[in-house]
This record gives sequence, C-alpha cells and structure tokens, in this order.
Amino acid sequence: MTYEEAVAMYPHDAVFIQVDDLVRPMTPAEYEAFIQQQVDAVPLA
Amino acid sequence: MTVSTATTSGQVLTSAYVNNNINSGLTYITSSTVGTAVSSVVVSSCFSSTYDSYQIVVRGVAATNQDFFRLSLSGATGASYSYGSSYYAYGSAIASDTSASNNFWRPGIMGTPSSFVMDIHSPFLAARTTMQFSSSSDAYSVFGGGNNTDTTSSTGFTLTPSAGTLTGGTISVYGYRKV
Repeated sequence: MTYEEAVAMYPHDAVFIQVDDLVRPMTPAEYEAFIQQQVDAVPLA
Repeated sequence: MTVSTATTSGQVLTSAYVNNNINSGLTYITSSTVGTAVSSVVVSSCFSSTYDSYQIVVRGVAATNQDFFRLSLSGATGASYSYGSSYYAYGSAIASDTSASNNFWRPGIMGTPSSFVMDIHSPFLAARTTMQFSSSSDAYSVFGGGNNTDTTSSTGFTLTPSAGTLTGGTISVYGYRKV
C-alpha cells in the first residue's frame, strides 16, 4: 500500500487510540506513525 | 488450600469456606470494550504484586486486516521480545511466524471475529517475562509462545493490529491464584 492509499483508506478523523475505556483522536505524530505502519505492512501468506 | 466441596441446601457457610471460594483459581481483574476503528488499545494497571501469572482473553474483535496482533508491555519498550508460532490458513499447510528480537510479541491472529487466550508470567516482577498463546479467526489458527529479556516491571500492556484497525469485542485480564 502506498502512503497516499493509506491516507485515503484511513483519514485522520476516522482512526483512534484507546486507553482503557477512553477513545481519543490521534495526534499528528501518532497518525503519521500509523500511516507508515500501513505502508510497511506485509500481508500474511 | 484445597478446593471446597459443593454446598447443600440450607448449609451454613463458614468464613473459611467463603474466603477460599472468593479466592478462586482465576480471578477477574479488569476488562475493556474495544471502541470503533482504534489503532491501539492500552490496558493499564492490570499487573501487580497480587499475582505472578495472568490470563489475557481477547474475544470478538473485528479487524480490518488478516494479520497478527501485536502486544507490548508497559515496562519493556525496546527490542527485547522474541517469539515463535505456527499458524494455518484453514485448509492450507502450516506456516511460521518468528522473531529473535522485536519491539512486541505477535500473540494472536486478526480477522472477523478475532480471539486469543494468552498466559503471561512475571510481567510485574523484575524478571524475564514469558508467555504462551493460542488464537483463531475466521480464516486462521495459530499457537505459540515468547520471551522478553527486559526485566523491567510492567503494570499493563498495549494491543495493536499489525495493520489496519480494530472494532468491538472485549479484552479481559485474569490473575492466577498464587497459593
């Protein structure tokens, strides 16, 4: 998946982080790390 | 302490009997309901000196991707995790997932739904932490174990999908009675 495809699939306002029962938006740095993780992901065999 | 026998109708229970049964083999500690489209879930303050071994139960989580969960401990943030597992895509030959040095374990398989059970030992102690797990989803099953060389005490953990997001289901933590 390219960077652009990851951003299109997971817009910043559509993904979240959960701490115990509190769900919050991602910071810009957290979102950037999340998008890079999608780019780097290798699908299961 | 021995396991108590079943009570009978009208029986008066002693405090020793009640205390023994309250302090059962597996004791519920905490649980979280996974939100919608989350990229990680932190479960904090679940490990303590009360127990040395714990069971983490993840049930009914819907994942956007067919991939592995990642789990890291709050006190072990470096590349101190090693693990190995065998997994099957249903109807296919066995495959392996292993690492000698990583920043997380991969203790379960994601799908819709996803579930895994993981026994984890000594996360709160200043000692190596080990774990064993089994897991299944709508498309895969996996079993394996792992080790963590970082002896820093941990009070909780973070569950993350290797790719995509998670929605719904529960994460529960239980403690194994010591004596």
